[in-house]
Amino acid sequence: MSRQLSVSIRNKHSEIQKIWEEFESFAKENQMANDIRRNTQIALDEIISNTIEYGYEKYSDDKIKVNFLIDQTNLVIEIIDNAKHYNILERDDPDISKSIEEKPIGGLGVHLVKSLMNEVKYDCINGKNHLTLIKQLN
Amino acid sequence: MEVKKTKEGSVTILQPIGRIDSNTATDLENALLNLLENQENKIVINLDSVDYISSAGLRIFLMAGKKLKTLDGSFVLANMNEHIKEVFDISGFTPIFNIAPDNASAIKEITANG
Repeated sequence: MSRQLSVSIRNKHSEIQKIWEEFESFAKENQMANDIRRNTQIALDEIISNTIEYGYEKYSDDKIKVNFLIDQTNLVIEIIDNAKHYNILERDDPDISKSIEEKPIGGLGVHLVKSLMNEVKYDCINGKNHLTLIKQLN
Repeated sequence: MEVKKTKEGSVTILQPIGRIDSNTATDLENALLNLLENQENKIVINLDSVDYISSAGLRIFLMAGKKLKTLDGSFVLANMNEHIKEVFDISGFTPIFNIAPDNASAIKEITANG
């Protein structure tokens, strides 16, 4: 059983697929529950698509690295990129009580990440964004 | 992603297959926009083959819901799994959409509302 996985992708939406494939086999090998696997995939989709869309210059050849680690109680995911500094924790939560006419299209991604993960931490280390997501396994 | 389309009288049923995320949401968006262009505005989305939905998918539902309100159309989501329900609850989407347990009740809801 491999308790660690590291995947690097280029700055392109189509590359996210590579993370899914590797993470899905990692989740299977480690008998991860389906709801944890799904919550993690949603959180990763939100973070990585944001970095590709807004963090990096379009069509640049930059990389995004994702490290997965399973310890006794948690799945710990670290997302490292060289994009514009962006701390998702500084973003205000959206007002989710609005009606369909008033609800803005967008702004829900970060809210989903914070709700679906147990802990979210941001650090800027050597000029790079380090975002850590922690999901309890039980 | 594959989006299957079937008709049940005046109601169109779309069945997306797989996950609805930043990579696949445009396929569902195109299928929905296509229906709206053809004035097919009684729509059921059958979610029985969807694993999960990220905010890219929520955005498509919101867009379709807003458009259909102005077109006097109907839009019902059917067969959500527990996980999609959770994402809808977290996002405040549950009270603003018509959600039915299965296709038959979704179609019934649409036809009852004219």
